[in-house]
Amino acid sequence: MASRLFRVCGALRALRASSAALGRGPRPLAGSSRPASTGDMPTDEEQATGMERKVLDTIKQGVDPYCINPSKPFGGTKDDPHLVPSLTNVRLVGCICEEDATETYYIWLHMGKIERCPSCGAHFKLIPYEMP
Amino acid sequence: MTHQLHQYHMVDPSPWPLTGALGSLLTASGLALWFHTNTTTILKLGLLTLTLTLIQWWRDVVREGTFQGHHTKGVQKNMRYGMMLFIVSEVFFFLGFFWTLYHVSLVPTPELGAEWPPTGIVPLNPLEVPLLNTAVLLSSGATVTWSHHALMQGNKKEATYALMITIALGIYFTALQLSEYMETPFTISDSVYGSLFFVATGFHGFHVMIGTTFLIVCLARLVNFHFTTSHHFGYEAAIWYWHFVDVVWLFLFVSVYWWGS
Amino acid sequence: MIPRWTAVRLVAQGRNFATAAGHDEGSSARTWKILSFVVALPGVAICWVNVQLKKKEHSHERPEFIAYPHLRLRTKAYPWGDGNHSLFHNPRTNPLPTGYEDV
Repeated sequence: MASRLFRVCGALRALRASSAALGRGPRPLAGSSRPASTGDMPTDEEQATGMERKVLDTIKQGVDPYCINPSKPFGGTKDDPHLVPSLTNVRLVGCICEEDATETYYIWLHMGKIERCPSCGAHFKLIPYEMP
Repeated sequence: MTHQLHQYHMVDPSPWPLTGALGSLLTASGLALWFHTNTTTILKLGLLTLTLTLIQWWRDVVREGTFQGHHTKGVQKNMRYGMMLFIVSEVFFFLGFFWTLYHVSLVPTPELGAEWPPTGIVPLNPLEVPLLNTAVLLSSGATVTWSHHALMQGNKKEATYALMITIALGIYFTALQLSEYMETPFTISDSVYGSLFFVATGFHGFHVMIGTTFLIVCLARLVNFHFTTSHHFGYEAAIWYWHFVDVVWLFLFVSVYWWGS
Repeated sequence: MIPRWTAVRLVAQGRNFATAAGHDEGSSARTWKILSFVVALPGVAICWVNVQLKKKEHSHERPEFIAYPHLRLRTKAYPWGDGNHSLFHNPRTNPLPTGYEDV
């Protein structure tokens, strides 16, 4: 147990040293709004992996491929339709019409064609989207 | 890995739901068999199956979250909802005991002497060990918050020490409850008072032991660099659970120990 | 000039909607550390002293045994031991249905 612990500690220290040397990863908490740390808790920057790392990196690039952030508001008029990103040339969307509505109207959107909600008349338009 | 189009975690096939269900069935049947026929084989088999399932299932979850990175922000949010719902279900579990207490104590039946506590029952003094227990649990709530804030600010050393103090307080509480159980002048078969007292405080005691175990696992994970300053939901869930256990004790102390005596 | 990654990080933090990292004012750990050592743990110590003091005042007389029908129920034997002793049996304080064991 103890030997394993030392190995993990050593590996992490080495990781931190190398990332600092490369000049890319920030040292723990440096440059953040937090006070200078006295301990050595790792941050997500240093330790996230797999899908978590992918999301972290894409968000850092300023893109939101998994629609994590709330979508930008659109007017829904003909000139300012709701832009719906899609990986294919068709996507099903649900229109809630207004905040307190108890029903959702589902509409199939096709590439290059503006569709309207049968209830409130809002305009929807499909836009092509590529995964980063 | 195939190109994933969403941030969610599609879990791999796992044997643990099956063995968990089997373990639960064996434990429940085993308990009934133990009460009725005084044999403990099935119960032991059930508890063993359940324990092995829990250890391996949670080990897999730790691997998926910490080492494979499946626990993205969206997945963490769903786990928050899961833990909240679980704690709500626990609240209702304990609500049943409080309902029972007020049902039987507000209008005590003539069979019990038409008084509460029932005739012949000498209750514990709430201002001795139960008060100490209250202080112990409230303190552990403060130290665990200290640990959590230290962790979020990146101070691993302080987070570790504060968590160790919390665990020590948890173990101290269990030890105090055990010594109280050995000294109580009534037993579980002394009218509804004894049954309710031991079932309610006993289940609470089980929850304290589970919460302590949960915190011990978090301590091991903290020491082994599993947590980051912003991703440590396992620890947060343990803290929520610990606070829940703390609050249940406050209600038990006020209702069962204090008002009920 | 702010390094590029600092700016990116600050933006990322602003976007971070996880509740865990949302509220770190800086000295909150210190506040809770002080609360733990100044309020909580002394509270435990005071309650412990209180227990020790009250323990001395205890009379060691136990109530006389009366075979009330609603107490010492044995409608079914306990599924352990001889079926007559509770799991936390204390011969000094817990009488059996027939009375205290040591008299």
